[in-house]
Amino acid sequence: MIHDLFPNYYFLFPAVLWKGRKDLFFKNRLPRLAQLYPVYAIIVILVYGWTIGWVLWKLPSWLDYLPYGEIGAIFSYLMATNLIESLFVLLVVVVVCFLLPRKWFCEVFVSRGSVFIAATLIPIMFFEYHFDNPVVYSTTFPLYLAQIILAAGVLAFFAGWIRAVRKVVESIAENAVIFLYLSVPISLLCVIVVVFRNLL
Amino acid sequence: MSSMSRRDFLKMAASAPVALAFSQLIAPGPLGANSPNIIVLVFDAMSADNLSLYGYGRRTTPNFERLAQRSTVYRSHYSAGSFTVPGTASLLTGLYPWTHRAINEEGQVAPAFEENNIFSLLGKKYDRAGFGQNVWAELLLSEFRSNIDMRLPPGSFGFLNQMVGPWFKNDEPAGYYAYDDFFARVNESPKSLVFGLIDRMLFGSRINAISVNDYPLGIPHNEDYKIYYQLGDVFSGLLSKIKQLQQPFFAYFHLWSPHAPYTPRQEFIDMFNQDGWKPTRKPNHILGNRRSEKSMQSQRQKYDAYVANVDWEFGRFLDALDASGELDRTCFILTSDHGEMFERGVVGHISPLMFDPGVHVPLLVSAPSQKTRNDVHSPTNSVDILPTVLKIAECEIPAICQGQLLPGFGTLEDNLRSTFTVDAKFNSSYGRLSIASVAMRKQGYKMTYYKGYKNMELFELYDLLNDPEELTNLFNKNVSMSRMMKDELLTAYNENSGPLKS
Repeated sequence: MIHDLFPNYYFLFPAVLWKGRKDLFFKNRLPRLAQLYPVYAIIVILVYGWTIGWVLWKLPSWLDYLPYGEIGAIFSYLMATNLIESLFVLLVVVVVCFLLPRKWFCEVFVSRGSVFIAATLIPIMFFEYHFDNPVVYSTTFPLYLAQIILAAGVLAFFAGWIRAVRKVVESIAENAVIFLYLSVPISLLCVIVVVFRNLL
Repeated sequence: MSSMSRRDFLKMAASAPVALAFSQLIAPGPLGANSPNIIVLVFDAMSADNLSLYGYGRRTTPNFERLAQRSTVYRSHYSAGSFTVPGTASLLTGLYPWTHRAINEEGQVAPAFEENNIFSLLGKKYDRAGFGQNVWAELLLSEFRSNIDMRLPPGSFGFLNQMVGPWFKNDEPAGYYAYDDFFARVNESPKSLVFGLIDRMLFGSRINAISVNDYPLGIPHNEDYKIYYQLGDVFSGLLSKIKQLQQPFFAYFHLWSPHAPYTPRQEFIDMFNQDGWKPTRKPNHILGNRRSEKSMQSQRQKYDAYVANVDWEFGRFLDALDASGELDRTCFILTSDHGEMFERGVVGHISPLMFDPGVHVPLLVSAPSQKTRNDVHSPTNSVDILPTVLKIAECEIPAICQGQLLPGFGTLEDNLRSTFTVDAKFNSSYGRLSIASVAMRKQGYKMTYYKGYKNMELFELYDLLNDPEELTNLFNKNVSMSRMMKDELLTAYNENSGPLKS
């Protein structure tokens, strides 16, 4: 049957399967834990940084009329949401990694993942900073998003391809992991606060 | 031995001529027999100066005039604040903003005065309902939530409502502050990088899907939060909720309309386009903005059309209420939390200015089975609503209350009384009020004190009886009145502008 369909190449199949055998295993298509931390750190810097920046902008106003406890509660909601949001972004990157050939993404996950994230989220920040009308988000933004994802993909390709760039990006991402020592425990504490306040 | 002061004598003399006119309301009638239902209906940003009921040049409110035929109309009623938070908080607590300290945008009543709210003071004798379509009013209601039996979320009866705050019923108002006010406030950048983006994309697509045939200028909506609605639906919803309440009930309904954006239905848009009426042109104020006359008049025309639209919808609500017989056993109070300006370079109410269009608001009180109209000309204030409601409900009025009974409900007209309107949004609610506008209304005069803006102190005095448009500042001309009012105003300000009293 196969011989009828691919008369000249069927004999290559076992070789192809052998060569790509690692791709066939679910586990092998996912990045290792050590690769996830640096990429997650980049996500945390951008996602939490954006929110915390706005918190600092809003804080003087909150201090004018809200008690410290209430401000703490609001901050807990924000950090808990940021935790879920950052994990959601990480999940998206992991899914992309799973879908693409292993060599394209998984093997250089830290550099390509970090650059892809930064190159996507930073232009989104720019857009969000300049536009607030919801209608713009549903009409103009999808095309803009398609363009920035394309551009982010190209940048991510070069980040994994050029050795020097890859090293620099990996170095930055690995150093950024230190932020996780702050963000993760604080966020978990905030989740507990939110759950506690809503259950009581 | 007590002696009558000159001041008391003048008060009594001023009251005497109107005593007879109010005899039917003061006498124990339907109010004393059984506790009546009470509905307080607040239209946000409705200036008395733009209502034909109050003599405006455009026929904006024929249905309000219809209600007025069976109501007491307070012609010199002032809001205690110049925007939603202080105005509403004063109405609900009977305290001036410098006391309750809900003075900031999104602010709340200081904890020490929380229990002095109208719902708490009415007690369980009444089935108490609260609806704040304006989210800032809802934040105040959420502060009083333990005293409200039926609270309707701000998006109730709307056909597009993407509010998150109501999900966190056990932790209000933190949910509102975190999500609706911070993360996803409409006229600001999303503060959540990814979820904010998704939320706004979904919301934008939902807005796009709305058919706007009847509303060419857009569907009525809250400009800062994700609530779109049709006023007719809201009134129908409120009617159905009223029927669910147990008698006697107290219902506080705070509607967003006719607040900006001004979005009247198609048939009202051109209502005043070619009417030839022109408002008095007024000079720009040093503390006003710099909007052009053309822009102000264009906005005023839209606002007037929107007010006419709101009045039309209200007329249908009134008819339905009347047909159900509810009006005969209900004390119906119609008012606003603040006004709206289209003069002196200002459009809207985000301004330190205290001219009448921004603070002079309607107040109609229709007692159960009232059949005739009364007009009260002496100054009244939104802080008077709480004691009056408590009196109607036969509840005790707390000593801390700074308002007094409205004329016709236990007191006579008092022209010598002073009432205040305070705007102190630039200060911390806990600290000293160093930047503020205070308007004091007394006799036929209004004195305004602007403190701290552009590092200056400014006093203005207007004779509202002879100069209702507030065109001539008499501060340096009527020296005796200026001195008397200035002393009283500064005394009140100095007594109340210190750090928050606990």
